[in-house]
Amino acid sequence: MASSNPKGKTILCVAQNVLRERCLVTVVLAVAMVAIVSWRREIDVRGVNPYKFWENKVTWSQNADMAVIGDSRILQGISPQAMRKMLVDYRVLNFGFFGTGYSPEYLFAGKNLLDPKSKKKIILLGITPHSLTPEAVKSNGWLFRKKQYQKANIIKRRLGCLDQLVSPLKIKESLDLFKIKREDRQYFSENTPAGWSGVIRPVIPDDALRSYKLAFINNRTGTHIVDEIIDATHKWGREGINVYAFRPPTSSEMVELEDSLSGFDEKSFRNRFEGAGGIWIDVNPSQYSTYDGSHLNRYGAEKLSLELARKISRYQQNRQQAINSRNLPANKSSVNHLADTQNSTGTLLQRQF
Amino acid sequence: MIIGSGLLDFLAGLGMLRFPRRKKLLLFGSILANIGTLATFKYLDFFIGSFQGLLLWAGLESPLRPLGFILPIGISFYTFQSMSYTIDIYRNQLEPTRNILHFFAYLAMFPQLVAGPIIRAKDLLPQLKTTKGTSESQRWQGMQLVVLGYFKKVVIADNLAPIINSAFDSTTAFPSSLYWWLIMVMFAFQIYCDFSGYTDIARGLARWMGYEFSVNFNHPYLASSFRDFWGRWHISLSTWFRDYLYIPLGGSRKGIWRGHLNMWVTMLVSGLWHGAAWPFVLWGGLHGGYLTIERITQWPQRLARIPGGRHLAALFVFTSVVLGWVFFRAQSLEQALEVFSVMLSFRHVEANIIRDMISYKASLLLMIMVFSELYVYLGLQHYFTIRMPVPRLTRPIGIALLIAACVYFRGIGNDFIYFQF
Repeated sequence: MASSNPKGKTILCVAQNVLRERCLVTVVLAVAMVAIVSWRREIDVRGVNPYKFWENKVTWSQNADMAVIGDSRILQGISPQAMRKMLVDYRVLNFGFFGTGYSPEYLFAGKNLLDPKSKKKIILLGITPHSLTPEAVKSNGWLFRKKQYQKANIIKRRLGCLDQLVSPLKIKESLDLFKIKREDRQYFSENTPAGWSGVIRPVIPDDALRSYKLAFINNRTGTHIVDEIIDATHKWGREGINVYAFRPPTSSEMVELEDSLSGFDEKSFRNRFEGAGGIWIDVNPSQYSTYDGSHLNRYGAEKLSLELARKISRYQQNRQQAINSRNLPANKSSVNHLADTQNSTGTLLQRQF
Repeated sequence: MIIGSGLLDFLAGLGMLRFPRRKKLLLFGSILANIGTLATFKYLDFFIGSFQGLLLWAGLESPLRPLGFILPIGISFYTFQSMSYTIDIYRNQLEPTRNILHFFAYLAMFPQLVAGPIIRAKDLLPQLKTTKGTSESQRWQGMQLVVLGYFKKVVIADNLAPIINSAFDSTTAFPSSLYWWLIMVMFAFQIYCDFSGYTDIARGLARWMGYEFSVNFNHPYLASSFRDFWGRWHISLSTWFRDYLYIPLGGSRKGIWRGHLNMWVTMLVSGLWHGAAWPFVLWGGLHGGYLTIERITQWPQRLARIPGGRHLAALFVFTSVVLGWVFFRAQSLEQALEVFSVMLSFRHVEANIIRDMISYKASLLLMIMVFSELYVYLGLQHYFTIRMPVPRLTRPIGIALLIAACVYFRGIGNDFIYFQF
């Protein structure tokens, strides 16, 4: 019947011609496949556009009271919003980056986030064994993002959210796409303006263990990198900055792996750090669970951030009391004196944590 | 740079037509300018560095310092194309074009400008003269080539790269020969997919524009002799060296030993063409050695006479080529020798450590590559083509799947390896 209708005949003819153009058919099929995969992988893109997120992080300057520094366990594990529940009038920024190491430049950039006029400057360091390795310092995640931002074009910055939809799949994830009944597949990562990337992913307990095993081959924690942190802590203390550090909680398997392969000696680091005037915060890793054997999900991150903020807040109050009891003005310009005070009170206050 | 050297060769070509008696002089000028440019920008610092090393060894201080020139992108490729243009005119194998746009389109055709294939003026200039629209079949073939090229590059090569890079970034070589053999086999497929992927993209783009570039790779790892390997690997460069260096030197026409010498010169220059560093020269030398032994002993022919001999020959050639790649990939001569010694020591470590060091994805991709090469080696593609007629939509679905694979299984972006040459 269609052939007797001239309009129908034309449509049929056009459809046949279109189908004959195999390039077009292929492009349509490929777009459909990408759309199906994006839909099936159930990524929920939330928060700040990824490119904007990284752009903000690498261009922040001198507007915080507290900077939290470290690698991906900080990036995903510390929520400035949650911290501000305890540290109410603090401007907190999360300066964590994937795979970053403590290079002098990174430490300087972290310190540079603090507002010079702030009276309550704090730096919180997340000390992971990997962040102290030469490889992490060399392939610095912070520097990578900085260079990427410099290179990124305007389209990428505006449409960065699409990047998540077409981000590479792991083999296991790709096999999951074909499962009809899927449970526990709520993926999302929410990038917040203060630099935290809160993640919800299905739990694969040993997902990260394998790569960490490789990460420490010919790449153990470096003494010179620890020295840089100790020197910076000492210097910052003299500038009136309170420096805290903690080992981000992770799975017991990961702790065991890192302690056996990385060459990191937590006790020795802690002694040196405290000797330089820093305050070490103990965190009990058994209270937290990870989604991949390494990183906390967003709920764990919020819990950890609250715990740290509570301890820091208590320390700050005690420190203030200690300063007052010695009749020292809180805004004393003699920063060396303040650092000495911090040293002595800091050691005392360790016991309270 | 490209405009300067291009203009010189364009004018030299016209000059040879106008002044046939000055042909030799014009050719000499063209070659001198091209080689001079290449030598200055690519090799001067290498020679200065080597000279410095020699003086240092003799306990003297060198008065020369490296100049630090930036290597112009694609210089090795367009210089060779430009030279072949004037040489072909000199040999009366090519009529010089009077159309400067055609000449520069030949010299700077964007898909292949940076990393080849090295096209010949006698192949492309006639195509430029008779430009016409493209057919659906050409567009489809072009698309298949482009997608296949991208798949080879972003899925295979870029996913293998991090494991290989991390192996070579280590300050000391991991003491397991099995591990290094695996790494080097991976590198063999990485460089193959990286380079042949680029060539496929270039050929596909050219086909979309209505042009035809010659095939540059023909399953090189299936070669059953070293001569066969060089007839399948970077064919446009191998034939360039054959036509413009080996044969002018006399080829194998001037006696056995002169033939060997010419072949060695060609292989060493070919190694140096790839990079201004001693490991590349050694790589060329190693292949020169392989070819010499092959010519003298005729082992591929002898081996082919025994049952399964052809397969043994292919395996031996592949293994030897993989060994040669150590010099190509190592960051220094010392590292190359260290890796080489570990590979040949047959020292072993626990298999589970190696399993941890090489990701599942990389192992899977390696297997895909090995099976796809075996598929061709065993001639299965002919079997399936004859026995199983393919429905019209099967190929578009296959290519669409490859596009989706490029999107979702892409590795970390890396430059094409041959961009550095």
